[in-house]
Amino acid sequence: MRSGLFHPPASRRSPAALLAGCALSLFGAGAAAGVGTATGTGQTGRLAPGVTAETVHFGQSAALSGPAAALGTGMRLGLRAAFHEVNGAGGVHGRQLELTSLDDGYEPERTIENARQLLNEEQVFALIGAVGTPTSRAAEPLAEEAGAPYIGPFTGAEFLRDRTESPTVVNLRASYFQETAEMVRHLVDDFGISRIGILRQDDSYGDAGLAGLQRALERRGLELTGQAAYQRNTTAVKSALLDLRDAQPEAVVMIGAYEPVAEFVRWARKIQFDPVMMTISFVGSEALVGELGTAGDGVYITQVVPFPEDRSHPLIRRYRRALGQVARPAPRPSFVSLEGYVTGRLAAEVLERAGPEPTPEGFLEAMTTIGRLDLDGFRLAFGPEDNQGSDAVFLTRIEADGRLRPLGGN
Amino acid sequence: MAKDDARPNGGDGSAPEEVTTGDGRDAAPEGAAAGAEGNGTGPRAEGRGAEADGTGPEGDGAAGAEGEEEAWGDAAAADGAESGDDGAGAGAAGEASGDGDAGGGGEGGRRGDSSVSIAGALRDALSRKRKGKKAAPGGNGAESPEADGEDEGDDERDDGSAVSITGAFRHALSRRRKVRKAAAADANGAESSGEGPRAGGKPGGESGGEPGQEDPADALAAEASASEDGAASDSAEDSEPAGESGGTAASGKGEAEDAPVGWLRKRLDLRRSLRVQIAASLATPLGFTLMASVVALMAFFRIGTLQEEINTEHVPALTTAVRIEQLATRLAGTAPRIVAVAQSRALAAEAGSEADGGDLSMANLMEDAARLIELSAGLGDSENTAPLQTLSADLASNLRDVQTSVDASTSMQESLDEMQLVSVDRVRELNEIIVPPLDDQYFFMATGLRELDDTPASILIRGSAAAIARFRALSTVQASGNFAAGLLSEVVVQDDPGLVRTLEERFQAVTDGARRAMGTLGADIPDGLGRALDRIRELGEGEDGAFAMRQRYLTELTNQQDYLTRNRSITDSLGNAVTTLTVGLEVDATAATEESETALNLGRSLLLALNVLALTFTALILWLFVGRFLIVRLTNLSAAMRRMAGGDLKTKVEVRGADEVGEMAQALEVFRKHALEVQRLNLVEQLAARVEAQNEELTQTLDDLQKAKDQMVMQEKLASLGQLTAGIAHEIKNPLNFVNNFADISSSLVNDLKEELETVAEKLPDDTKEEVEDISKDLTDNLERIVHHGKRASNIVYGMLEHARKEGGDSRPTEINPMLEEYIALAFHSMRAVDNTFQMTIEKDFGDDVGAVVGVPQDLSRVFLNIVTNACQATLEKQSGGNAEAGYQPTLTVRSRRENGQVEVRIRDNGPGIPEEHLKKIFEPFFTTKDTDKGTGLGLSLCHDIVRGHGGTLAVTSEVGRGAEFVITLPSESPGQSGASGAEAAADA
Repeated sequence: MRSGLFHPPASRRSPAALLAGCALSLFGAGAAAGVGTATGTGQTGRLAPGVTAETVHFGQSAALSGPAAALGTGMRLGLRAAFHEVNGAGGVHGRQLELTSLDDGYEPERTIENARQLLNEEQVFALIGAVGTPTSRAAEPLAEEAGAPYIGPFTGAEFLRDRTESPTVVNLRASYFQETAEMVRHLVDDFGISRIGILRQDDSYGDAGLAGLQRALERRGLELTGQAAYQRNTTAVKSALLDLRDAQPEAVVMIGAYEPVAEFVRWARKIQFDPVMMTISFVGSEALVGELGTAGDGVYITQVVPFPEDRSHPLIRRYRRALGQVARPAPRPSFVSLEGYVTGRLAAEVLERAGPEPTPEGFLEAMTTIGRLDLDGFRLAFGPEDNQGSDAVFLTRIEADGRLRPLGGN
Repeated sequence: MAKDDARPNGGDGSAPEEVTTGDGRDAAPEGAAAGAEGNGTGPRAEGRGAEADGTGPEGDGAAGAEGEEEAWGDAAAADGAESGDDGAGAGAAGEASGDGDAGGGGEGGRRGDSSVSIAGALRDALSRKRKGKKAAPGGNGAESPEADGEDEGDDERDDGSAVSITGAFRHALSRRRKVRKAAAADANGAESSGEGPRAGGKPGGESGGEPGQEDPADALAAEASASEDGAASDSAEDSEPAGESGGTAASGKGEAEDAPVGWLRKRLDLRRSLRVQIAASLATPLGFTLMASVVALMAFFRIGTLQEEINTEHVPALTTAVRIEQLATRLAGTAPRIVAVAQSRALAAEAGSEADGGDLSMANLMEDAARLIELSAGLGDSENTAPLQTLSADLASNLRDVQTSVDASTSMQESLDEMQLVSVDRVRELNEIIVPPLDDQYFFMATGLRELDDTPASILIRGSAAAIARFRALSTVQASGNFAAGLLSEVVVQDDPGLVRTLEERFQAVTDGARRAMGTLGADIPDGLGRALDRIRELGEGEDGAFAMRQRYLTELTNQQDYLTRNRSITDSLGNAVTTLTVGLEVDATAATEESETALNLGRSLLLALNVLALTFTALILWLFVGRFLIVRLTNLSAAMRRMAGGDLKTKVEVRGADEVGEMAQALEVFRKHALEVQRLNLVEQLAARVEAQNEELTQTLDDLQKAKDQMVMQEKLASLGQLTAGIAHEIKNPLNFVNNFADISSSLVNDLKEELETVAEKLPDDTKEEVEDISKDLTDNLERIVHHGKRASNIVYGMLEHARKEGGDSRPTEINPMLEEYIALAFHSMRAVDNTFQMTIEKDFGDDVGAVVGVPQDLSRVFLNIVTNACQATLEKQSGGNAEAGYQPTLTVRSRRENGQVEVRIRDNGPGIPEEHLKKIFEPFFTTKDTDKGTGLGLSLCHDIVRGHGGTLAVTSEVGRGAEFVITLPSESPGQSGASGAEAAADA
């Protein structure tokens, strides 16, 4: 607190975040120093933060506990598998990739703490594999201020896809807008449904889904039919269920975590409210399937990475091999860990192109100039104004046997 | 003329002369006719006199200047005197002494005393001049005019001039040179005393003879040096000392004219050497400067003492006081800022960003306070400093209170911030607990379902009062929890202590309500709900609760304001105390400063006065001594030197004074006179030398003329000889032919005779036969001799004819090189014909551009043939003469060139060469070194004539033993010109 007297905090922040501001100022000084050394790297030969002669250090703050724990652990698993694979092949420019993962329980306050610790104390090169929209909204500005890349957050929030607003972000996955657009396309064009309602989490994640859905509907001249929210980190969805039922939609798009979504599906079935139910990749497909079992029959999930059971895909084969090497017995493949894996591979690839003495600036420069990138058949493309690698959205469906299947034709 | 003048003068005594001098031209008619015509010198003397009268001493100078002209006339007169005529001598002197006599007469009659004093002055001056023996006559002479002057003092000018005149006179006598001058001076004297002539006329006549005897000698001297002007300057010099010694008595006017100068002069008369002058002129300013330094030193000492007093006593005290005031002001200013910083984090941000942010710490503040106490203690105990010390201590203690208060409020603020964060967390916790049961209850009330497996409850159950009450209780708990958290957030930023209390009451009410509502839930209370509620409550309750803490915090802020107010008042008092102290100190310091200023001013005035005095005296001394006495005289001296260097030896050196400069001037004057003499002597020598040189020149010319004449005669002789020769030759030729022819015939007749005799030989007796044979033999021999010598004679005649004939035909352009080729070959082959063993190396070096010259080819070819033949003969002679060195090879080198419009042909042989004595005569006719049968001695002479006839030259150089070289130069003019000149040449020939 006292130290805050001597350092200008980010005064543009809201007064409510004064405490954070003070802390931030501390961090800001460190970050500024970090940036300073980073810019000096080219001339002096000094290495950027998180980079040593032998290693490059990445940091992850994700939900490793709580209702979204499956997402954080999945991402972590995938990242570790990818790093393990890269390290096994000699690392990047001779450097081993390291990962430090911290648990934020899907709470933005904790994310801020974690991010601060990773950037200032651990001095990581970049933040990677974050989970969630509100958490990313909290952590991304810190990374930006520190000049650290913010790689492959497990969210499709739109603000992370704006190069001006989020200059240090490197996205892997398609956005929520794209996912919701795909849902609406499917519902309207394929199923001929026009009454679509939404269940959403009462935070920026839910807002993002809502906005995307509304946009997609507006394009078709449709309006939302009912919307309800539930409180994050609870499964208190029943009031929302009743609200939605009253609106009588033909389909409900669920923007939430797997537990409340599963609860919602189960209770909807229970009270014979039976619209077409679609949820978004963020839900954590395997977790949802695990929660719902056969009760999930007919629930659609949009995906942004290939189907992990598709062994014909070279990426999947490699991913599964890497998975087998990082843990015994081999964990079950999942969309989340696959996304983590691809994120790890992407990070390694861009780092490779950033040259033997990577700096955050060099890394981001490499990302914008990398153009097209084919990761074992999973095609990515970046550009100066495009920080999102993949635009692919796949639709999957939980079958009657409680298994997830990719929707034919995709 | 002068002689004539002198005689009448002498004869008449000095009277007429005096007339002329006395009244100038007007007087002249009045005097005897002789006087009028009198002396060429007369009018001049008079003119001089007029000037002398006008301006005392200077008048002498002017007189001197004119005296020069007079000198010649005088000299002439002196000549006359010198020539032995006593009377003339007296007359000549008459000019000088006649006045003296006149004066003498006057003197005798009028003023014995003054004349005595003047005589004394004169003696004085004379003794200095080391001319004692002259003193007597001079004295006599001088006294008189002087006496005149005084007596007839109606003329005011008289005294100085009279004195100067006496000086001049005396001087003239002493030096035995300036008779004329003196005479002139006398004339002045006479004139100055207008009636002088009449008054002293007769006595002058008698006594004039006396000094007059010596005058001739003087006149001689005057002639010799011819420097009357010198006398003038002398008299000028002398007039001064005379003025000194006698002037007092004699002339008040001379003194009045130049009083200070005269005084100084007198003062310094004893020792007026340069050393004394310079020493005096330096010593005076130096003395003043020393005095000034002493005064300045004393002033500085006084000022230093006073200044030190200020420095050691007042200044440090003042400095400390000012420092205290500064510190106090800073403390008063800084404290509120630090408090403000502590109170507001937003402000903290600003303060932190300020440049002096580092100063804004409590530690610095306390440090300053400590220094304040230290400083005020250092002021010592006095009436003025005591309050200062007390106030400083108060200020420090007050600051400590501020510090304590600020620390407390800061820590409370931190706790409150912490609580606000915690409250957010706890509300979230509460919500996570309360929302699911609430959701559950609502759903149950709507659908009758609690679990998925349940069958729906009836409307009675799900709509029962208990169900509704439970929903309400849960809702209340949730609302209360959120409300309580809101109150907590609000109180943290609440600045009104009254509102804080109100908020606390409401918080208690809300939490009590929540607890009550929870109590209605009965047994079915969600897990952890009670605990979550308690955790919210405990944030607001008790001494450490947010509300109490905020209350305390606000109290502390009020305290801080009080402290700051007190701070300000203490600071103000402190400032006043400091001002009091400062004013006191300033009064002391001002007094000391004023005192030192007074001393300074006094010292300054004294210094100024002394400096002015020193400057004035220095200027005065510079002006008087250096400027007036030294520089001016030195300038005069150097001007005189320059004049002399420039050749003007006639202007007198006029520099007064008895010091080294004066001596230098005198020496220079002597030098000048000598130089003048030397110059004259030099002039004569130069003239003699020039005459001698011209004589020599004339003699030389005469010699040359004689030689030329001889040559001409010789040439004439030669020419007539040539004609004679030609005539003779022509006349001899025919008889000679006869002789030769008949000798030939006789020879053949003798042969015939012999044959005839052979036929009758047997018939003759042996004796007769022998005799006949002898006779015929002798006859034959004789005939042979006749033939031989006859031929020789023919040759000579032929040669003579050739020589006389010369003309060879028409002049025309003739190519030189081919001609050379031809005649070299011809000559060589001729030699071969004589001696077929003859060999010769011929080197030809013909210039390509030689071309043609206009000339008579036959003549030119003869020249070349002759010279080349000579060369061949010379080499042959050397070769056969036996004195040729081994391997000697006769060599002929012929070279032709065209240079500067002339053609030059050089023919060189390496024969025995031509002896020096022969070279001169080599071109004379009949000169030959060859045997009589080989050369006539006419060849080279002929060549010479031919070449000259062509306007060219023929020269020969030779080195005995090495060979000879003939150089023929022929003008090669353009055809037209050359034709003309060729014609001329032919005509000449």
